[in-house]
Amino acid sequence: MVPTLVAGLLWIFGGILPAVSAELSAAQREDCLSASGSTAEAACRNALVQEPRDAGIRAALSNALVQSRHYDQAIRILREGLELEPGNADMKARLARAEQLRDEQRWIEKQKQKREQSSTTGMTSQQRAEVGRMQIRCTKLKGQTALEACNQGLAISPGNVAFYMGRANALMELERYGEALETYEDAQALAPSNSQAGRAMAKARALRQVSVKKCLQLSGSTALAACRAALQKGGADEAEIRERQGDLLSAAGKRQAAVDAYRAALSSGGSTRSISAKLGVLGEAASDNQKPPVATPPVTMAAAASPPPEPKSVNAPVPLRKAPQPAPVVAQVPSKATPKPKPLPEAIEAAKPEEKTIAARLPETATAAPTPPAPVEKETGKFNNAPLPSGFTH
Amino acid sequence: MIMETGCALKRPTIAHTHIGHALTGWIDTPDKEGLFIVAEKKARQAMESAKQGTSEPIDMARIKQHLKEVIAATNPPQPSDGGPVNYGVKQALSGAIGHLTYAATSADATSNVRQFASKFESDAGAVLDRCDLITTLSTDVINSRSMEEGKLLADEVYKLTQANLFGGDANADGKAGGNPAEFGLKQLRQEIEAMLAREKPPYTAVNQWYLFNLIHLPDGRWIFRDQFEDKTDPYSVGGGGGY
Repeated sequence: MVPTLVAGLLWIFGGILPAVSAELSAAQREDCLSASGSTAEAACRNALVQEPRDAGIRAALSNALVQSRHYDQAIRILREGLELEPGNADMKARLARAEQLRDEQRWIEKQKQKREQSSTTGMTSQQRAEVGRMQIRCTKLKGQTALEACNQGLAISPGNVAFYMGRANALMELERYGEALETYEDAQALAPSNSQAGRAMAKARALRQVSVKKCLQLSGSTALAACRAALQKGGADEAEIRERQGDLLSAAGKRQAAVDAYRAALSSGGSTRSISAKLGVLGEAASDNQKPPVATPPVTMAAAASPPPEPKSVNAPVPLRKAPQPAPVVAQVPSKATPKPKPLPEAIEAAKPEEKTIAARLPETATAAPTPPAPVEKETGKFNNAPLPSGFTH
Repeated sequence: MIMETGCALKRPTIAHTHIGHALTGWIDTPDKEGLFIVAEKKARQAMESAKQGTSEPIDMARIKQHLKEVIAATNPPQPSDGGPVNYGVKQALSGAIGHLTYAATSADATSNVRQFASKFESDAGAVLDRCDLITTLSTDVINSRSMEEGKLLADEVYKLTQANLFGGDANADGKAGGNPAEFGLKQLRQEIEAMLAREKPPYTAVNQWYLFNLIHLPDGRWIFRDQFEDKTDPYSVGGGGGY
């Protein structure tokens, strides 16, 4: 009985399986010949496994592979076909055509690479796109976002006037007139015929002069903001503004920021004796943690310790650059208890990361000296009683 | 003029056949159109999408969607396995440059074609660079969280897509496409048409059959598939069919 059953099953499946297989094969052949793209490619591969001598399937597969630029695979498939059927003229023609397309594509790709690598600007297409992107972001966006783009642009394309102009405009928007003025000067130095820079420079200079006045004559956060706006690295009044920042920060209880500002003032050629005395006062206070911050504006003590500064007119034109004075040595600070000052390069490093690329041109105190409202000094909007530099009156 | 010229019955030169790949048909472009024609169509699509991006008043998501369409039409991502090309302006124009410069290497290329090819390759650089810039700025918009920034950059993308089609005015002299750095596809088309007008023998649009049945033999000879019957050639058989 069992052998009969087995024989019966074999008879049934022996008849069905080949029929199913033939049906599948026919469907795959039809897909291979009628479909396109990856569907055709998959169907042709399957059909070719079953019918390796079917030249139609092989031709369709090579066609699909050529369409998808897999020329080497198409060439291999056609060569295999010619081994099976050496006299097939159509396959030979297809092989020649696939080889030609492959060679042509290789040539074109090689030329394309050459084109991308060699350009008159000496930059790759990717670098050019990045410069273009930064230029648009620098000149079309606003405020801090624009400034960051300009700084990044200058890092990858130094000497690009558009980035200088964009940076200066962004600094104007951010009310950092001193830095803006400095950057306009750079732009004009690069392109002397740039009348836009000339006009903008006049505006920046005027706004900066107002800020210098506010910095030196007002008090509290308004004055601090004005000092920041007015600060121009290399300007004739850089040391004076930095020292004033130190005074204002000290008065606001921002001891460390004040120390940094005084150090920067010394580095930019400020009065060594006067600033050292102020640093000494801060150092003594720092040695006694119980003592409250110095309530009296330290400038008063400084005034006692040093002769009044030379008269300066804030209306005088700002010279383009002042040669940096040699930095005073730390030993000149008269107290052992004085906290070790942060060296200037470190202060520059403290600048925002996006501005580090041109850190040497950025104000050291820009981030080291935040300007919250002074807790010990009421904002009056009027001139305070702190001694004014010569040439100013209450 | 390029599109309107009728089909030629006469066998074309090899150089003209390669030029035909840029102007009339190529094997893997959408609808098997010429590569330069595809570049023009894609550039128009990009400009229309970018324009829609600028006209969205408040909907940042829609602006981003339009900018994605701009990327798809300008410089879409390519398959990493070297599969079928996704054609945008950059791929199509780059292909057209390739075929036009390849045409200049044919033995039957006229000096007119040779001189044109190197100039065209150089002049087309502005459009290719703009494609990269459009892509990177559109990506900035897609990644932006600021409506103000998104809108400002979308405006710039729109201007760039216009410049890609009609030419830009980078030097602000009031004349778009006045020099190669400002060229768009319009100026490049003019260059092609001027070259074709100078051709002797005259250029006529190449029949599709010739476009897809050109063969370069290992011995350096170019033939069409119906010439594939010479018993002395390395394959020594006749032709038929085609890609």
